[in-house]
Amino acid sequence: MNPESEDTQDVAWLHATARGERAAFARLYRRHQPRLMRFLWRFVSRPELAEEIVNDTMWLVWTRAHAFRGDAKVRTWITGIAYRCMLRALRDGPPSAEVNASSLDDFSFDALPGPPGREAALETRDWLGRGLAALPHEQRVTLELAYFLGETCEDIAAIMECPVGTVKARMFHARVRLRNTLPALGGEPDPGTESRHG
Amino acid sequence: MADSTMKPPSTDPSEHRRAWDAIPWVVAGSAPMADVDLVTHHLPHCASCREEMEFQQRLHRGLREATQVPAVDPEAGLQRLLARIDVANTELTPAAPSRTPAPVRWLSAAVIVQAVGLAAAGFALLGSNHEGAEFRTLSSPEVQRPASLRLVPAPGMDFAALRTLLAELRLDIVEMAPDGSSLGLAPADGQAATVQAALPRLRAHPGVRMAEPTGAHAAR
Repeated sequence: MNPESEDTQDVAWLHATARGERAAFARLYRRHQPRLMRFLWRFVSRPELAEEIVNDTMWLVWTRAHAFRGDAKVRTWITGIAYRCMLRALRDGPPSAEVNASSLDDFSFDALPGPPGREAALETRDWLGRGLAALPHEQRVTLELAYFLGETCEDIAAIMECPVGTVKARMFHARVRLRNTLPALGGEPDPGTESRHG
Repeated sequence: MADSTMKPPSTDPSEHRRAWDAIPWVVAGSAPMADVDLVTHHLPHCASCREEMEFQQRLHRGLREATQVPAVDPEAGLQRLLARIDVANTELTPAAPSRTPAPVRWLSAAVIVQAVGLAAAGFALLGSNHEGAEFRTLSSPEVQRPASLRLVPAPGMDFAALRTLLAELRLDIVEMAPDGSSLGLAPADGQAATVQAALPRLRAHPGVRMAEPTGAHAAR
């Protein structure tokens, strides 16, 4: 199903949800839960906490479905709710225990298929772990939304409730910071570009 | 890409910057076609952007590959959420069009029930025969009025409207189920006739899902 058809179906389900139709809400839940779990798992360290945030998100979808104005795709709207629920959970919870600094600590790279192989995968883990840990929260979320969920620049702006220019600036600074953090693996930053973007 | 290498380098001085900015979105597959074309045309002529492209591709690949999401059954999560919705729906909260968060409304309701209970306890103490009476605290169960009616509000029933209705029928809220799904009511004057008179009106009201007498009143 292409994204437009998927969103059309999501809108129909959301309108039905606003009328209190549980079957439509269940379909919305089943469609978006796996994606939300994958996203949240990048930032929280316990699966039960991730599921709790998903359910808080979908609870708000249930109670606020009538408030959806159609300014963004349903998927974007739901991801934005999840992002804010996650921020609240991380703010209210024990900070050091909940934040999943790299999401890679317990990952078994044996599961990775074929090349680049275990050594390269381990190297990538260290590389990513160090790089992502060095990013400010907003820059990391921007990068994750773009690379992990494949969101567009405009959708990320809607999710994070900021101007598109801010998303571009955060992406730019994340790239430069990663370059500076990981010069041996990623190459030197482009000083010309950096100076142009401030 | 092969076609783009055939094109001459652009003379637009801003092309490098625009291409560099577009690279992550092209890598992620979310860039508009114009940006894809721009990067495709620019890369063959710019070593810096080619290197950046490789860097971002590696980052993109690493982020997508190196995450193993723990298996969580969506159906189990859905059932938990539906149970939560069930509890809320049996309260006074409408399912969708809500301006005030349900927990806030029910916190208010709980406070009111507590206040009613305390008031009832106070009146009971004032009205009791104190000669030879033992000292009792307000929390003593003996001074609480038992519920004569069990009421389950319909979804969408506004709490203020319910209070108005109960005031008209001279009924007080004396209990609330722990999950907030039902209320225990007692006649303000303590008379069974008040309960009997209120029952048909409660049952006929669109904001009441169920109204049943309890205890001694149930046998009448």
